[in-house]
Amino acid sequence: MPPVPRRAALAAVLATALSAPGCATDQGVLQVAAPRPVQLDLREVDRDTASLRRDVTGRDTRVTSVLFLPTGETPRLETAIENALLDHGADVMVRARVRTIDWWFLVGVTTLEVRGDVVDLLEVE
Amino acid sequence: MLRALLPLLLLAGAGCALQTVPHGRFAALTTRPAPSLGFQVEGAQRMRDVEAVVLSQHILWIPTRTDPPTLAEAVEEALRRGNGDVLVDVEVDRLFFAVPLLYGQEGWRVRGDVIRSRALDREVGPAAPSAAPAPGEAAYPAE
Repeated sequence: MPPVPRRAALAAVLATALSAPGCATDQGVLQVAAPRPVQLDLREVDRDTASLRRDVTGRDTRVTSVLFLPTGETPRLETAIENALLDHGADVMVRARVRTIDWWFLVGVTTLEVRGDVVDLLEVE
Repeated sequence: MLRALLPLLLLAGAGCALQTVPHGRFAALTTRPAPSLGFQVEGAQRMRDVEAVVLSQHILWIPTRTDPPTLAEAVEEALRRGNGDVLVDVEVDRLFFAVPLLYGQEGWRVRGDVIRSRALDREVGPAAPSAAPAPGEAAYPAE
């Protein structure tokens, strides 16, 4: 077996060290998530003109620790959902899959991610 | 011996902190698929201040359950306790407590009013009297 160049071995070790200490946790699916008051009864809603955007992602990312010392910052679900809604001018998220993604190597970083469809109910009232 | 253990005990004690991280307040949350006509909440039964907590504990880094507690699990548990299908005026918190190296617990808490929409009543029938407290009655005492 040919010897592995020292630089390549170092890069491999570094890449492993950077990629290994992280994990993503599936927090499940919220069929409806509305940070603001919305009309839940859809009988009066005209579905033909309803504004629906599929597969929208919202995130909130914070540095949670530096050298194992907590910063006191944590991502918030409400912010992640608001980010997804604001990007498309919508007011409710449906079929939202929620994930937390943690990564740490000297600093700890946590992302709260929501991915789903967003609906603008105000537009169709 | 005690001198050797003291720094370790101090380190362990320093990390003892119950953290409640607020994740926000929501007008509506549910894990149940929305009926095609939405949730018909007008005049629907409403159970106030229902709280659900799902936790996982770690003892000497060994978890007490195989899967981590999830937000969806907490919401589903609240809906089950409130015997409804949608949560309104909901507060979501992440809970965390640790004694480094020895013990830890983490989980989610959701707290809000559970509504049993009329669509659910049509689907599965009205709630049984024993499982349906009068509107305003809390399922669990407030903290």
